[in-house]
Amino acid sequence: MKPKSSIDSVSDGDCALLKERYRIFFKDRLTEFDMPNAKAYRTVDEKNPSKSVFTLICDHPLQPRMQFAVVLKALRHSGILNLNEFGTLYWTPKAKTQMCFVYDMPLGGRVMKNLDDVISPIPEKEYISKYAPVLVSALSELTHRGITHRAIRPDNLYYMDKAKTMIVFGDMLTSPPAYDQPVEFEVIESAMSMKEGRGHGKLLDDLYSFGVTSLYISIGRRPKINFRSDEELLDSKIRRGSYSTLVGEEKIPLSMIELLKGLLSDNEEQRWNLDALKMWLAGRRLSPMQTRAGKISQRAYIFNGKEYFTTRELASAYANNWSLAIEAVRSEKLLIWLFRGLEDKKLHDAIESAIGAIMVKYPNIKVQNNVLVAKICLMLDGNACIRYKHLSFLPDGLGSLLANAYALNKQEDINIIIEMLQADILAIYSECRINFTYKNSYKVLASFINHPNIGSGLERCLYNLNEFLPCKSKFLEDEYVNEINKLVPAMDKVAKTVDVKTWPMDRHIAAFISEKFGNKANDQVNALRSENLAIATAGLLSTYAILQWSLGPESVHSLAGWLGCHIMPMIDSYHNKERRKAIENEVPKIIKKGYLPELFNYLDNLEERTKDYNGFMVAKSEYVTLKKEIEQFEMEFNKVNYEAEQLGMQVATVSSFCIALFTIVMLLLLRLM
Amino acid sequence: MSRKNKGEGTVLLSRLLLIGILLVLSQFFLPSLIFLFFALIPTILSYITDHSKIRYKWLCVGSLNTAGAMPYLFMLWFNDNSFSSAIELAFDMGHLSIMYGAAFAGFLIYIIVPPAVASYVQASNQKRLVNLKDSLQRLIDVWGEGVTLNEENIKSKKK
Repeated sequence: MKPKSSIDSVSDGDCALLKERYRIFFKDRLTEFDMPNAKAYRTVDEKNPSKSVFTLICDHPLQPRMQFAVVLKALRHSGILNLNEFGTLYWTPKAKTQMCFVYDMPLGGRVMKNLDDVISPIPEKEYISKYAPVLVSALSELTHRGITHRAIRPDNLYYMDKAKTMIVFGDMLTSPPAYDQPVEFEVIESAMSMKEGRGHGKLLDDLYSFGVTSLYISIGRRPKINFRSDEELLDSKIRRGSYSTLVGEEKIPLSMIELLKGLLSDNEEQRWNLDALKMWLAGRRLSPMQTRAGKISQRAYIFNGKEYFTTRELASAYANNWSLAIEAVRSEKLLIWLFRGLEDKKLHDAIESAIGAIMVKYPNIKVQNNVLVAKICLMLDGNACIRYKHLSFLPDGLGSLLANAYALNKQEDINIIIEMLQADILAIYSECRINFTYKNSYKVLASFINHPNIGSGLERCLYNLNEFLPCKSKFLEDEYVNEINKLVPAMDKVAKTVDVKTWPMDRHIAAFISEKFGNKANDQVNALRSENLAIATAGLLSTYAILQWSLGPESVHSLAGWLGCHIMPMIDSYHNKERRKAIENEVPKIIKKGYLPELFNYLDNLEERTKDYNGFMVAKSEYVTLKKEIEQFEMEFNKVNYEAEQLGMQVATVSSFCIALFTIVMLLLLRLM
Repeated sequence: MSRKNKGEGTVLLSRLLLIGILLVLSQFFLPSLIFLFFALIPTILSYITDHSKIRYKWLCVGSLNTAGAMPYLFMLWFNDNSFSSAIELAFDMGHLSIMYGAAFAGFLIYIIVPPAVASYVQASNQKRLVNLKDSLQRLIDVWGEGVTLNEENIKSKKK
């Protein structure tokens, strides 16, 4: 596989050439096509200059919905703004690397410039016969491909032609799902969630947004809904229902009432699906029901000075007053109200046993309190999102929530997410939702959090939950590494300018590799965790070596040089100093080749290691023997001196005797001769 | 009682016999004894002053002192073995200087040889120690400080 560069374009001051085809002019802004989190620029298709296109460049740290980009690029539909290309570019004006999307230019502009814009209402007949069928078909097409739009609102609809005969859904990729959707365009469950935690949702969520959008178009403006805040609007949706809240006293065409009632139903089971919508467009009239969800109590439950009659309202109040809720759920008052006021014995028993179970399962009182309130909120409101302290999100929005907390450096949110994952909040959610399956992939999140080593921890959760998130390593701030095969080339590029003394690995890179490269790099990443510097260094080198060996490129001279500055502990792990010296002399030549597997194999040659180890063991045993001999020698030194002295005396005595004897014998012989 | 008297009589008789023999022998050896007494004064002095267990000093001085006295003792024995001759030989300054010089030579051997031997032994031991330490250092030079650590040291060092 040919390794990819981390940047898909060539930037040249005022412009950039994306994938050798689309020239993007940074000085030519097209502000009318700006998205809340992306800036629009004039673009020329160099292969087909007559085609009008424009580019949206993401200008925020939030994660675009990259998982759908490939599918959308391949999709051609008259109800969807065509995506021609996408990729990363070095955005010269802001000096950073960002994702960009090249779309067909909608020549008729936006249907509404913004949500406060006032336009001529589109006649119902025209809407039903001309525009709505195409848009519904587009939603159907997206659904078939497993995509939800999550950005359906009047200011994200465009007229593709100057004659304004074709309306299309606009961009859905530049922001996290439903991130830019105002509360009125979101179903209650999603509106309850923080905008970054809404998740990809489902078709029914898009249909709801489509219903609200249809309302705007049919009256040509924002409906007269005067709420001071989103909370009030949401509260009204919960109390009165979405249709009553949004349509209110508006005069809307009769035929549209049916559509809006069908699409704005707060009960998912009663909300129109695509089939119902298509039937209605085909002329078959249906009679949608607007029902209030939940049982109403005869007696009020008083919390924080306010009266509550339904469990959904109460759950919402608990979530908005977390610290008061902790006291409230621990008192008997709630259980008494459920039993006597609401007369819901089943819910009463379920909550009573849940309280007992949580008290046993979570010994930490702080976590126990938070889990208790979170679970009771989920039990009281059968459709609500997960609410935990000030965070609220739907399960499939957890990844986006975490990614945004990282991107916007919201440390408090990160800490809460850690606490939630440790408490396995998704398991708690699954206990309260019949239609939610607790996947095995969720189980590993708790495991990652509970093992916060390099290559695991929250960073691993981040990449596990966000498949297309680029690596957030501090080294790769100017790169866009969202695929594993881009990592080594990007690090090679980084190595050209980095201070080589810095350790060429961090928690993000390790977690990114662990997540994207799977079990193949497990041993290498595990070695990174070692306290032994030689092993950690071997882990570092082998991690990059295995990536280069598997994914290329053939040579990474700069990265090899950078790693070369950190391999001394590996060399020092050889015991034999002569071998070390030989390695030190040889290594620069191998580094010059830029092929990390060769460098690693040379430094960690099994045969050499075994030879070195065996030699070392022999030397150690020799050392012990010699040491003992010396100690013995030194210990007996005084004794040896004394013995030498005695020996000297013996020598003197024997010598004297010998001389005397010799003399006497000689004298005697002389005398006898 | 009678048995006791008989025993005492035997002892007395044997003592008288011994004295008699000695008196006869002393007639022959007295000149030699007198000569040796004066000739071996250094040996006698060294015996008195040497309090060591094996009395190496006495042995060294005595053996050479004896060797120095032997030519004159032979002269006494083979010429005129008389008292006057013994006195004459013993008090001749030339003879005395040779006999006492030999004793001094023995004393010098006692003084010089033991330290010399001890120094030699110590030097050879020192050399062996240096060789052992060199071998140790060579091991460290080739294999690094790690070679000096046993498993427990390695573990504690890692910690």
